[in-house]
Amino acid sequence: MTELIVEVRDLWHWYLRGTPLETVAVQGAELELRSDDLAAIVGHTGSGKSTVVQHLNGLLRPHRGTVRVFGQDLGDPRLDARPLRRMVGLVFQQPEQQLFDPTVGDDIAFGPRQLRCTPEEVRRRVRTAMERVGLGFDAYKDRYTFGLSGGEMRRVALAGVLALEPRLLVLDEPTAGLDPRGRAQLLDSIRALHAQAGMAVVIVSHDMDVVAELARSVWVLAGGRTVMHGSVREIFARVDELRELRLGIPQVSELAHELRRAGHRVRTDVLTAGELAEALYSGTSPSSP
Amino acid sequence: MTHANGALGATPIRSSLLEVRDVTVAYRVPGGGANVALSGVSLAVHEGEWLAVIGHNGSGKSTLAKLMNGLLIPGRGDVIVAGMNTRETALHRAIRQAVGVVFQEPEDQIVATLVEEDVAFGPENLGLARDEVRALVQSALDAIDAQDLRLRAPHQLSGGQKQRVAIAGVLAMRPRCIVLDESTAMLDPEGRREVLDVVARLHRAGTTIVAVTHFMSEAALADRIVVLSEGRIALEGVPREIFGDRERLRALDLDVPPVAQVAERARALGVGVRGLPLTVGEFVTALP
Repeated sequence: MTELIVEVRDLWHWYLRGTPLETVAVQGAELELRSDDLAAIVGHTGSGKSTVVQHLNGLLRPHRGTVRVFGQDLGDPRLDARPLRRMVGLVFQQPEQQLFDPTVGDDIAFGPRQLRCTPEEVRRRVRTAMERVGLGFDAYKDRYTFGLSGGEMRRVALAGVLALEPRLLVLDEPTAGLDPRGRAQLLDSIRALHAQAGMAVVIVSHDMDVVAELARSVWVLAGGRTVMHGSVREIFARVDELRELRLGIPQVSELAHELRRAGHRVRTDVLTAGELAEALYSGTSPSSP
Repeated sequence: MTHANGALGATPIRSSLLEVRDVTVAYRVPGGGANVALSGVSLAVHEGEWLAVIGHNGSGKSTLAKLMNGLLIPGRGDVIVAGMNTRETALHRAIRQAVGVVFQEPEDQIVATLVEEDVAFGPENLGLARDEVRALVQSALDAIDAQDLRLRAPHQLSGGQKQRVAIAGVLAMRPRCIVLDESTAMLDPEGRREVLDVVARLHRAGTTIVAVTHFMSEAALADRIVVLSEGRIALEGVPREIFGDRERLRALDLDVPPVAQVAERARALGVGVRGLPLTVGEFVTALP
Protein backbone atom coordinates (compact mmCIF):
# COMPACT_ATOMS: atom_id res chain seq x y z
CA MET A 1 0.00 0.00 0.00
CA THR A 2 1.36 3.38 -0.89
CA GLU A 3 0.51 6.31 1.29
CA LEU A 4 -0.29 9.87 0.39
CA ILE A 5 2.70 11.86 1.65
CA VAL A 6 2.09 15.30 0.14
CA GLU A 7 -1.25 16.99 -0.26
CA VAL A 8 -1.37 20.56 -1.57
CA ARG A 9 -4.86 21.99 -1.99
CA ASP A 10 -5.70 25.44 -3.34
CA LEU A 11 -2.35 26.86 -2.22
CA TRP A 12 -1.85 30.63 -2.39
CA HIS A 13 1.34 32.50 -1.67
CA TRP A 14 2.32 36.16 -2.06
CA TYR A 15 5.81 37.67 -2.03
CA LEU A 16 6.33 40.95 -0.14
CA ARG A 17 2.83 40.53 1.19
CA GLY A 18 1.35 43.65 2.74
CA THR A 19 3.74 45.97 0.90
CA PRO A 20 3.11 48.04 -2.25
CA LEU A 21 5.33 45.54 -4.11
CA GLU A 22 3.11 42.59 -3.19
CA THR A 23 2.97 40.01 -6.00
CA VAL A 24 1.11 36.74 -6.08
CA ALA A 25 3.41 33.79 -6.83
CA VAL A 26 1.00 30.92 -6.39
CA GLN A 27 -2.78 31.12 -6.73
CA GLY A 28 -4.58 27.86 -6.27
CA ALA A 29 -1.88 25.24 -6.88
CA GLU A 30 -2.64 21.55 -6.37
CA LEU A 31 -0.17 18.72 -5.89
CA GLU A 32 -0.37 15.17 -4.60
CA LEU A 33 2.56 12.84 -4.08
CA ARG A 34 2.48 9.23 -2.97
CA SER A 35 5.26 7.38 -1.18
CA ASP A 36 6.32 5.54 -4.37
CA ASP A 37 6.10 8.51 -6.73
CA LEU A 38 8.70 9.54 -9.28
CA ALA A 39 7.16 12.79 -10.36
CA ALA A 40 8.06 16.00 -12.16
CA ILE A 41 6.77 19.52 -11.67
CA VAL A 42 7.15 21.55 -14.84
CA GLY A 43 6.32 25.11 -15.74
CA HIS A 44 7.64 28.21 -17.41
CA THR A 45 9.94 30.58 -15.47
CA GLY A 46 7.65 32.39 -13.01
CA SER A 47 4.99 29.67 -13.01
CA GLY A 48 5.33 29.26 -9.23
CA LYS A 49 6.95 25.83 -9.22
CA SER A 50 9.88 26.78 -6.97
CA THR A 51 7.50 28.53 -4.56
CA VAL A 52 5.35 25.41 -4.31
CA VAL A 53 8.24 23.08 -3.54
CA GLN A 54 9.60 25.41 -0.87
CA HIS A 55 6.40 24.68 1.05
CA LEU A 56 7.16 20.97 1.15
CA ASN A 57 9.70 21.21 3.97
CA GLY A 58 8.31 24.32 5.62
CA LEU A 59 10.75 26.86 4.18
CA LEU A 60 7.58 28.72 3.21
CA ARG A 61 4.20 28.49 4.91
CA PRO A 62 0.90 28.67 3.01
CA HIS A 63 -0.87 32.02 3.01
CA ARG A 64 -4.10 30.32 1.99
CA GLY A 65 -5.07 26.71 1.31
CA THR A 66 -3.71 23.46 2.70
CA VAL A 67 -0.26 21.89 2.63
CA ARG A 68 0.02 18.54 4.37
CA VAL A 69 3.36 16.72 4.31
CA PHE A 70 3.74 13.36 6.05
CA GLY A 71 0.53 14.13 7.94
CA GLN A 72 1.78 17.49 9.25
CA ASP A 73 -0.28 20.59 8.57
CA LEU A 74 2.06 23.39 7.42
CA GLY A 75 -0.74 25.90 7.87
CA ASP A 76 -0.56 25.47 11.64
CA PRO A 77 1.64 28.30 12.93
CA ARG A 78 2.53 26.27 16.03
CA LEU A 79 4.01 23.44 13.94
CA ASP A 80 7.77 23.04 14.35
CA ALA A 81 8.93 22.32 10.79
CA ARG A 82 12.43 21.18 11.76
CA PRO A 83 11.67 17.43 11.85
CA LEU A 84 10.11 17.83 8.40
CA ARG A 85 13.36 19.25 6.99
CA ARG A 86 14.97 15.89 7.70
CA MET A 87 12.17 13.94 6.05
CA VAL A 88 12.04 16.14 2.97
CA GLY A 89 15.42 16.65 1.31
CA LEU A 90 15.49 19.74 -0.89
CA VAL A 91 18.29 19.89 -3.47
CA PHE A 92 18.47 23.37 -4.94
CA GLN A 93 19.70 24.41 -8.38
CA GLN A 94 23.46 24.06 -8.78
CA PRO A 95 23.84 22.69 -5.24
CA GLU A 96 27.60 22.32 -5.79
CA GLN A 97 27.83 26.06 -5.13
CA GLN A 98 26.91 25.33 -1.52
CA LEU A 99 29.73 22.88 -0.90
CA PHE A 100 32.16 24.32 1.63
CA ASP A 101 34.41 21.65 3.10
CA PRO A 102 37.64 20.93 1.20
CA THR A 103 37.27 17.20 1.93
CA VAL A 104 34.41 15.29 0.28
CA GLY A 105 33.66 13.05 3.29
CA ASP A 106 33.56 15.96 5.74
CA ASP A 107 31.23 17.95 3.53
CA ILE A 108 28.75 15.08 3.39
CA ALA A 109 29.15 14.43 7.14
CA PHE A 110 28.11 17.99 8.04
CA GLY A 111 24.38 17.20 8.23
CA PRO A 112 24.56 14.01 10.31
CA ARG A 113 27.04 15.73 12.68
CA GLN A 114 24.58 18.60 13.13
CA LEU A 115 22.00 15.95 14.04
CA ARG A 116 24.46 14.79 16.75
CA CYS A 117 24.76 11.29 15.31
CA THR A 118 27.48 9.09 16.84
CA PRO A 119 30.76 8.91 14.86
CA GLU A 120 29.87 5.35 13.75
CA GLU A 121 26.45 6.49 12.61
CA VAL A 122 27.96 9.49 10.77
CA ARG A 123 30.35 7.14 8.98
CA ARG A 124 27.57 4.72 8.06
CA ARG A 125 25.36 7.50 6.71
CA VAL A 126 28.18 9.08 4.69
CA ARG A 127 29.17 5.73 3.23
CA THR A 128 25.58 4.85 2.28
CA ALA A 129 24.89 8.28 0.81
CA MET A 130 28.07 8.22 -1.27
CA GLU A 131 27.40 4.76 -2.60
CA ARG A 132 23.85 5.74 -3.53
CA VAL A 133 25.13 8.51 -5.79
CA GLY A 134 27.85 6.33 -7.29
CA LEU A 135 30.82 7.83 -5.45
CA GLY A 136 32.86 5.00 -3.90
CA PHE A 137 33.44 5.72 -0.19
CA ASP A 138 37.10 4.72 -0.13
CA ALA A 139 37.91 6.29 -3.48
CA TYR A 140 36.28 9.66 -2.78
CA LYS A 141 35.99 10.37 0.95
CA ASP A 142 39.41 12.02 1.22
CA ARG A 143 39.36 13.71 -2.18
CA TYR A 144 39.67 17.48 -2.54
CA THR A 145 36.08 18.69 -3.04
CA PHE A 146 36.85 21.58 -5.37
CA GLY A 147 39.09 19.54 -7.66
CA LEU A 148 36.18 17.32 -8.75
CA SER A 149 34.31 17.65 -12.03
CA GLY A 150 30.98 19.51 -12.12
CA GLY A 151 29.02 16.25 -12.24
CA GLU A 152 30.95 14.77 -9.30
CA MET A 153 30.50 17.92 -7.22
CA ARG A 154 26.79 17.84 -7.86
CA ARG A 155 26.68 14.22 -6.65
CA VAL A 156 28.59 15.20 -3.50
CA ALA A 157 25.95 17.86 -2.83
CA LEU A 158 23.19 15.31 -3.38
CA ALA A 159 24.95 12.87 -1.02
CA GLY A 160 25.00 15.63 1.63
CA VAL A 161 21.21 15.77 1.50
CA LEU A 162 20.87 11.97 1.39
CA ALA A 163 22.97 11.67 4.56
CA LEU A 164 19.99 13.19 6.38
CA GLU A 165 18.08 10.09 5.17
CA PRO A 166 15.00 11.86 3.83
CA ARG A 167 11.90 9.97 2.72
CA LEU A 168 11.05 12.48 0.02
CA LEU A 169 13.68 13.99 -2.23
CA VAL A 170 12.95 17.20 -4.14
CA LEU A 171 15.45 18.21 -6.84
CA ASP A 172 15.31 21.60 -8.56
CA GLU A 173 16.77 21.44 -12.10
CA PRO A 174 18.97 18.46 -11.24
CA THR A 175 20.84 18.23 -14.56
CA ALA A 176 21.17 21.92 -15.56
CA GLY A 177 24.67 22.68 -16.81
CA LEU A 178 25.93 19.09 -16.63
CA ASP A 179 27.69 17.47 -19.57
CA PRO A 180 26.05 14.42 -21.22
CA ARG A 181 28.03 11.95 -19.11
CA GLY A 182 27.35 13.78 -15.83
CA ARG A 183 23.69 14.02 -16.77
CA ALA A 184 23.37 10.29 -17.52
CA GLN A 185 25.12 9.33 -14.27
CA LEU A 186 22.95 11.63 -12.18
CA LEU A 187 19.75 10.33 -13.76
CA ASP A 188 20.89 6.76 -13.02
CA SER A 189 21.52 7.73 -9.39
CA ILE A 190 18.06 9.28 -9.07
CA ARG A 191 16.42 6.20 -10.60
CA ALA A 192 18.30 3.96 -8.16
CA LEU A 193 17.31 6.11 -5.17
CA HIS A 194 13.72 5.68 -6.16
CA ALA A 195 13.85 1.98 -7.03
CA GLN A 196 16.29 0.65 -4.44
CA ALA A 197 16.25 3.09 -1.56
CA GLY A 198 12.47 3.42 -1.79
CA MET A 199 12.50 7.19 -1.75
CA ALA A 200 9.73 9.30 -3.24
CA VAL A 201 11.33 11.66 -5.75
CA VAL A 202 10.06 14.82 -7.39
CA ILE A 203 12.09 16.84 -9.84
CA VAL A 204 11.40 20.44 -10.85
CA SER A 205 12.62 21.03 -14.38
CA HIS A 206 12.13 22.83 -17.65
CA ASP A 207 14.25 20.26 -19.48
CA MET A 208 11.50 18.13 -20.95
CA ASP A 209 13.93 15.54 -22.28
CA VAL A 210 14.95 14.84 -18.67
CA VAL A 211 11.32 14.73 -17.56
CA ALA A 212 10.42 12.29 -20.35
CA GLU A 213 13.37 10.07 -19.48
CA LEU A 214 12.89 10.03 -15.73
CA ALA A 215 9.41 10.87 -14.46
CA ARG A 216 6.29 8.76 -14.37
CA SER A 217 3.80 11.46 -13.49
CA VAL A 218 3.87 15.15 -14.34
CA TRP A 219 2.28 18.23 -12.77
CA VAL A 220 2.19 21.31 -14.98
CA LEU A 221 2.04 24.76 -13.38
CA ALA A 222 1.26 28.02 -15.15
CA GLY A 223 0.61 31.43 -13.66
CA GLY A 224 0.71 29.98 -10.14
CA ARG A 225 -1.96 27.35 -10.83
CA THR A 226 -1.86 23.63 -11.56
CA VAL A 227 -3.15 23.40 -15.12
CA MET A 228 -2.47 19.76 -16.07
CA HIS A 229 -1.50 16.55 -14.40
CA GLY A 230 -1.26 12.98 -15.52
CA SER A 231 1.15 10.27 -16.60
CA VAL A 232 4.21 11.45 -18.47
CA ARG A 233 2.82 9.83 -21.64
CA GLU A 234 -0.53 11.59 -21.38
CA ILE A 235 1.07 14.96 -20.76
CA PHE A 236 3.57 14.86 -23.62
CA ALA A 237 0.92 13.76 -26.10
CA ARG A 238 -0.70 17.19 -25.53
CA VAL A 239 1.93 19.04 -27.55
CA ASP A 240 -0.26 21.96 -28.62
CA GLU A 241 -1.31 22.81 -25.07
CA LEU A 242 2.29 22.61 -23.86
CA ARG A 243 3.36 24.95 -26.65
CA GLU A 244 0.63 27.38 -25.69
CA LEU A 245 2.02 27.38 -22.15
CA ARG A 246 5.42 28.24 -23.68
CA LEU A 247 6.88 24.99 -22.37
CA GLY A 248 9.40 22.85 -24.13
CA ILE A 249 8.54 19.46 -25.54
CA PRO A 250 10.80 16.40 -25.59
CA GLN A 251 12.47 16.28 -29.00
CA VAL A 252 11.04 12.85 -29.68
CA SER A 253 7.48 14.05 -28.95
CA GLU A 254 8.02 17.08 -31.14
CA LEU A 255 9.26 14.92 -34.00
CA ALA A 256 6.27 12.54 -33.68
CA HIS A 257 3.92 15.50 -33.70
CA GLU A 258 5.51 17.09 -36.78
CA LEU A 259 5.47 13.76 -38.64
CA ARG A 260 1.80 13.40 -37.89
CA ARG A 261 1.15 16.92 -39.11
CA ALA A 262 3.01 16.07 -42.34
CA GLY A 263 0.52 13.25 -42.90
CA HIS A 264 2.39 10.23 -41.53
CA ARG A 265 0.39 7.71 -39.56
CA VAL A 266 2.27 7.70 -36.31
CA ARG A 267 1.34 7.67 -32.62
CA THR A 268 2.24 10.87 -30.81
CA ASP A 269 2.33 9.53 -27.24
CA VAL A 270 5.91 8.28 -27.60
CA LEU A 271 8.70 9.12 -25.18
CA THR A 272 11.88 7.50 -26.48
CA ALA A 273 13.70 7.21 -29.81
CA GLY A 274 12.99 3.46 -29.79
CA GLU A 275 9.25 3.96 -29.29
CA LEU A 276 9.01 6.47 -32.12
CA ALA A 277 10.98 4.15 -34.43
CA GLU A 278 8.51 1.36 -33.59
CA ALA A 279 5.58 3.68 -34.20
CA LEU A 280 7.01 4.64 -37.60
CA TYR A 281 7.48 1.00 -38.45
CA SER A 282 3.90 0.04 -37.60
CA GLY A 283 2.64 3.18 -39.35
CA THR A 284 4.34 2.30 -42.63
CA SER A 285 3.56 -1.43 -42.63
CA PRO A 286 0.60 -2.18 -44.90
CA SER A 287 -1.27 -4.24 -42.27
CA SER A 288 -1.64 -1.31 -39.87
CA PRO A 289 -5.08 0.22 -39.45
CA MET B 1 36.14 50.64 -37.67
CA THR B 2 34.04 49.91 -40.71
CA HIS B 3 36.08 46.82 -41.49
CA ALA B 4 34.99 45.25 -38.19
CA ASN B 5 31.23 45.41 -38.58
CA GLY B 6 30.93 41.71 -39.27
CA ALA B 7 29.48 42.14 -42.76
CA LEU B 8 32.47 40.53 -44.44
CA GLY B 9 30.83 37.11 -44.49
CA ALA B 10 28.42 38.29 -47.19
CA THR B 11 31.09 37.10 -49.59
CA PRO B 12 32.30 33.81 -48.14
CA ILE B 13 36.02 34.19 -47.52
CA ARG B 14 37.62 31.05 -46.18
CA SER B 15 40.55 32.76 -44.53
CA SER B 16 41.28 32.09 -40.87
CA LEU B 17 40.15 34.72 -38.46
CA LEU B 18 41.61 32.94 -35.51
CA GLU B 19 44.39 30.40 -35.25
CA VAL B 20 45.33 28.19 -32.35
CA ARG B 21 48.83 26.85 -33.00
CA ASP B 22 50.08 23.82 -31.10
CA VAL B 23 48.76 25.10 -27.78
CA THR B 24 49.29 23.47 -24.40
CA VAL B 25 47.71 24.79 -21.19
CA ALA B 26 48.24 23.34 -17.73
CA TYR B 27 46.70 24.51 -14.46
CA ARG B 28 48.49 24.15 -11.17
CA VAL B 29 46.60 21.90 -8.77
CA PRO B 30 46.45 22.76 -5.05
CA GLY B 31 48.78 20.42 -3.24
CA GLY B 32 51.22 20.15 -6.14
CA GLY B 33 51.26 18.87 -9.67
CA ALA B 34 49.54 20.20 -12.76
CA ASN B 35 46.38 19.45 -14.63
CA VAL B 36 46.85 19.52 -18.39
CA ALA B 37 43.74 21.16 -19.87
CA LEU B 38 44.90 21.33 -23.47
CA SER B 39 47.71 19.42 -25.04
CA GLY B 40 49.15 20.34 -28.43
CA VAL B 41 45.90 21.63 -29.90
CA SER B 42 45.89 23.30 -33.33
CA LEU B 43 42.75 24.75 -34.80
CA ALA B 44 41.75 27.43 -37.29
CA VAL B 45 38.45 29.30 -37.10
CA HIS B 46 37.43 30.58 -40.53
CA GLU B 47 35.94 33.98 -41.17
CA GLY B 48 32.14 33.74 -41.16
CA GLU B 49 31.79 30.14 -40.01
CA TRP B 50 29.76 28.74 -37.10
CA LEU B 51 31.99 26.35 -35.23
CA ALA B 52 30.61 24.18 -32.42
CA VAL B 53 32.94 22.78 -29.76
CA ILE B 54 31.64 19.75 -27.87
CA GLY B 55 33.18 17.42 -25.30
CA HIS B 56 32.88 16.58 -21.62
CA ASN B 57 33.59 18.70 -18.60
CA GLY B 58 37.33 18.67 -18.26
CA SER B 59 37.87 18.07 -21.98
CA GLY B 60 39.35 21.56 -22.36
CA LYS B 61 36.40 23.31 -24.05
CA SER B 62 36.21 26.31 -21.73
CA THR B 63 39.98 26.65 -21.70
CA LEU B 64 39.87 26.82 -25.49
CA ALA B 65 37.17 29.51 -25.33
CA LYS B 66 39.22 31.62 -22.91
CA LEU B 67 42.24 31.45 -25.20
CA MET B 68 40.31 32.99 -28.05
CA ASN B 69 40.36 36.57 -26.78
CA GLY B 70 43.43 36.46 -24.60
CA LEU B 71 41.67 35.93 -21.27
CA LEU B 72 44.13 33.08 -20.99
CA ILE B 73 47.62 32.99 -22.49
CA PRO B 74 48.83 29.53 -23.46
CA GLY B 75 51.79 28.01 -21.64
CA ARG B 76 53.10 26.76 -24.97
CA GLY B 77 52.06 27.62 -28.52
CA ASP B 78 50.36 30.72 -29.89
CA VAL B 79 46.87 32.05 -30.47
CA ILE B 80 46.61 34.50 -33.37
CA VAL B 81 43.47 36.66 -33.64
CA ALA B 82 43.16 38.56 -36.92
CA GLY B 83 46.93 38.60 -37.20
CA MET B 84 47.50 39.60 -33.56
CA ASN B 85 49.27 37.31 -31.09
CA THR B 86 47.43 37.14 -27.74
CA ARG B 87 50.83 37.10 -25.98
CA GLU B 88 51.24 40.77 -26.75
CA THR B 89 49.52 42.56 -23.89
CA ALA B 90 49.51 45.84 -25.82
CA LEU B 91 47.17 44.23 -28.37
CA HIS B 92 44.63 42.93 -25.83
CA ARG B 93 42.28 45.82 -26.35
CA ALA B 94 42.14 45.28 -30.09
CA ILE B 95 41.90 41.50 -29.65
CA ARG B 96 38.94 41.77 -27.26
CA GLN B 97 37.25 44.12 -29.61
CA ALA B 98 37.63 41.58 -32.41
CA VAL B 99 36.51 38.59 -30.33
CA GLY B 100 33.76 38.89 -27.69
CA VAL B 101 32.96 36.14 -25.20
CA VAL B 102 29.55 35.37 -23.66
CA PHE B 103 29.64 33.07 -20.62
CA GLN B 104 27.25 30.63 -19.00
CA GLU B 105 25.89 32.76 -16.16
CA PRO B 106 24.10 35.87 -17.40
CA GLU B 107 24.38 37.51 -13.96
CA ASP B 108 28.17 37.37 -14.04
CA GLN B 109 28.39 39.63 -17.08
CA ILE B 110 25.99 42.43 -16.30
CA VAL B 111 27.48 45.59 -14.82
CA ALA B 112 24.88 48.37 -15.08
CA THR B 113 21.40 49.03 -13.72
CA LEU B 114 19.79 49.75 -17.08
CA VAL B 115 20.01 47.61 -20.18
CA GLU B 116 21.14 50.47 -22.42
CA GLU B 117 23.87 51.46 -19.96
CA ASP B 118 25.03 47.88 -19.76
CA VAL B 119 25.26 47.59 -23.53
CA ALA B 120 27.04 50.97 -23.68
CA PHE B 121 29.69 49.92 -21.15
CA GLY B 122 32.14 48.52 -23.73
CA PRO B 123 31.99 51.35 -26.30
CA GLU B 124 32.16 53.98 -23.54
CA ASN B 125 35.36 52.41 -22.30
CA LEU B 126 36.78 52.77 -25.78
CA GLY B 127 36.36 56.51 -25.28
CA LEU B 128 33.97 56.97 -28.21
CA ALA B 129 31.83 60.07 -28.64
CA ARG B 130 28.31 59.97 -27.16
CA ASP B 131 26.59 59.90 -30.54
CA GLU B 132 28.77 57.07 -31.67
CA VAL B 133 28.06 55.11 -28.47
CA ARG B 134 24.35 55.71 -28.91
CA ALA B 135 24.43 54.44 -32.48
CA LEU B 136 26.35 51.32 -31.46
CA VAL B 137 23.90 50.56 -28.63
CA GLN B 138 21.00 51.14 -30.99
CA SER B 139 22.26 48.72 -33.61
CA ALA B 140 23.29 46.12 -30.99
CA LEU B 141 19.79 46.18 -29.50
CA ASP B 142 18.32 45.94 -33.00
CA ALA B 143 20.47 42.89 -33.68
CA ILE B 144 19.05 41.08 -30.66
CA ASP B 145 15.57 42.44 -31.36
CA ALA B 146 15.34 44.10 -27.94
CA GLN B 147 14.57 47.80 -28.30
CA ASP B 148 11.75 47.20 -25.82
CA LEU B 149 14.28 46.19 -23.15
CA ARG B 150 16.34 49.38 -23.49
CA LEU B 151 15.20 51.02 -20.26
CA ARG B 152 14.60 47.87 -18.23
CA ALA B 153 16.66 46.81 -15.22
CA PRO B 154 18.75 43.75 -16.14
CA HIS B 155 17.90 41.90 -12.91
CA GLN B 156 14.22 41.94 -13.85
CA LEU B 157 14.80 40.15 -17.14
CA SER B 158 14.36 36.45 -17.85
CA GLY B 159 17.45 34.30 -18.33
CA GLY B 160 17.07 34.35 -22.10
CA GLN B 161 16.66 38.13 -22.15
CA LYS B 162 19.73 38.56 -19.93
CA GLN B 163 21.83 36.42 -22.24
CA ARG B 164 20.61 38.43 -25.24
CA VAL B 165 21.62 41.61 -23.41
CA ALA B 166 25.05 40.09 -22.73
CA ILE B 167 25.32 39.32 -26.45
CA ALA B 168 24.30 42.91 -27.25
CA GLY B 169 27.06 44.15 -24.94
CA VAL B 170 29.53 42.15 -27.00
CA LEU B 171 27.97 43.24 -30.29
CA ALA B 172 28.29 46.92 -29.36
CA MET B 173 32.04 46.40 -29.70
CA ARG B 174 31.46 45.39 -33.34
CA PRO B 175 33.36 42.13 -32.98
CA ARG B 176 34.23 39.91 -35.92
CA CYS B 177 33.76 36.79 -33.81
CA ILE B 178 31.53 35.89 -30.87
CA VAL B 179 32.50 33.02 -28.58
CA LEU B 180 29.59 31.51 -26.63
CA ASP B 181 30.86 29.44 -23.71
CA GLU B 182 27.85 27.27 -22.79
CA SER B 183 25.70 30.37 -22.99
CA THR B 184 22.46 28.38 -23.17
CA ALA B 185 23.25 25.82 -20.45
CA MET B 186 21.27 27.50 -17.67
CA LEU B 187 18.32 28.71 -19.74
CA ASP B 188 14.80 27.36 -20.06
CA PRO B 189 13.67 26.10 -23.50
CA GLU B 190 12.24 29.45 -24.48
CA GLY B 191 15.42 31.26 -23.42
CA ARG B 192 17.52 28.79 -25.40
CA ARG B 193 15.42 29.35 -28.49
CA GLU B 194 15.70 33.15 -28.11
CA VAL B 195 19.48 32.96 -27.88
CA LEU B 196 19.84 30.45 -30.73
CA ASP B 197 17.64 32.60 -32.98
CA VAL B 198 19.90 35.58 -32.32
CA VAL B 199 23.03 33.52 -32.95
CA ALA B 200 21.64 32.19 -36.24
CA ARG B 201 20.75 35.73 -37.33
CA LEU B 202 24.24 37.06 -36.51
CA HIS B 203 25.78 34.15 -38.36
CA ARG B 204 23.70 34.88 -41.46
CA ALA B 205 24.86 38.50 -41.26
CA GLY B 206 28.46 37.28 -41.41
CA THR B 207 29.64 37.21 -37.79
CA THR B 208 31.93 34.31 -36.98
CA ILE B 209 30.50 32.13 -34.18
CA VAL B 210 32.31 29.74 -31.87
CA ALA B 211 29.78 27.93 -29.66
CA VAL B 212 30.85 25.66 -26.82
CA THR B 213 27.86 23.49 -25.92
CA HIS B 214 26.62 20.30 -24.27
CA PHE B 215 23.53 20.15 -26.47
CA MET B 216 24.05 17.92 -29.50
CA SER B 217 20.95 19.43 -31.11
CA GLU B 218 22.67 22.85 -30.97
CA ALA B 219 25.93 21.50 -32.36
CA ALA B 220 23.91 20.09 -35.28
CA LEU B 221 23.12 23.68 -36.35
CA ALA B 222 26.79 24.60 -36.81
CA ASP B 223 28.83 24.54 -40.03
CA ARG B 224 31.57 22.50 -38.41
CA ILE B 225 32.12 20.63 -35.13
CA VAL B 226 35.27 20.04 -33.11
CA VAL B 227 35.10 17.32 -30.46
CA LEU B 228 37.56 17.68 -27.58
CA SER B 229 38.54 14.83 -25.32
CA GLU B 230 41.14 14.99 -22.59
CA GLY B 231 42.68 18.16 -23.93
CA ARG B 232 43.03 17.00 -27.52
CA ILE B 233 40.94 17.25 -30.67
CA ALA B 234 39.35 13.83 -31.01
CA LEU B 235 37.11 14.49 -34.03
CA GLU B 236 36.59 17.34 -36.44
CA GLY B 237 34.19 17.70 -39.35
CA VAL B 238 30.78 18.89 -40.57
CA PRO B 239 27.84 17.79 -38.34
CA ARG B 240 26.86 15.08 -40.80
CA GLU B 241 30.30 13.47 -40.56
CA ILE B 242 30.53 13.79 -36.79
CA PHE B 243 27.03 12.44 -36.13
CA GLY B 244 27.41 9.80 -38.84
CA ASP B 245 29.92 7.93 -36.71
CA ARG B 246 27.89 7.06 -33.67
CA GLU B 247 30.31 4.41 -32.44
CA ARG B 248 33.15 6.90 -32.14
CA LEU B 249 30.92 9.41 -30.38
CA ARG B 250 29.76 6.72 -27.98
CA ALA B 251 33.37 5.83 -27.23
CA LEU B 252 33.80 9.48 -26.21
CA ASP B 253 30.66 9.21 -24.03
CA LEU B 254 28.77 11.52 -26.36
CA ASP B 255 25.80 10.74 -28.56
CA VAL B 256 24.00 11.86 -31.69
CA PRO B 257 21.00 14.25 -31.37
CA PRO B 258 17.71 12.50 -30.45
CA VAL B 259 16.36 12.97 -33.99
CA ALA B 260 19.30 11.03 -35.45
CA GLN B 261 18.73 8.29 -32.86
CA VAL B 262 15.15 7.87 -34.08
CA ALA B 263 16.39 7.69 -37.68
CA GLU B 264 18.94 5.02 -36.84
CA ARG B 265 16.46 2.86 -34.94
CA ALA B 266 13.73 3.26 -37.55
CA ARG B 267 16.14 2.26 -40.30
CA ALA B 268 17.14 -0.82 -38.30
CA LEU B 269 13.46 -1.82 -38.34
CA GLY B 270 13.33 -1.40 -42.11
CA VAL B 271 11.69 2.03 -42.34
CA GLY B 272 13.13 3.91 -45.34
CA VAL B 273 14.69 7.05 -43.82
CA ARG B 274 16.88 8.84 -46.36
CA GLY B 275 20.25 10.24 -45.37
CA LEU B 276 21.10 11.33 -41.84
CA PRO B 277 18.48 13.77 -40.56
CA LEU B 278 19.75 15.86 -37.61
CA THR B 279 16.80 18.18 -37.05
CA VAL B 280 13.01 17.70 -36.89
CA GLY B 281 12.59 19.49 -40.22
CA GLU B 282 15.16 17.30 -41.96
CA PHE B 283 13.54 14.15 -40.61
CA VAL B 284 10.10 15.09 -41.91
CA THR B 285 11.48 15.42 -45.45
CA ALA B 286 13.66 12.30 -45.11
CA LEU B 287 10.69 9.93 -44.98
CA PRO B 288 9.25 8.42 -48.15
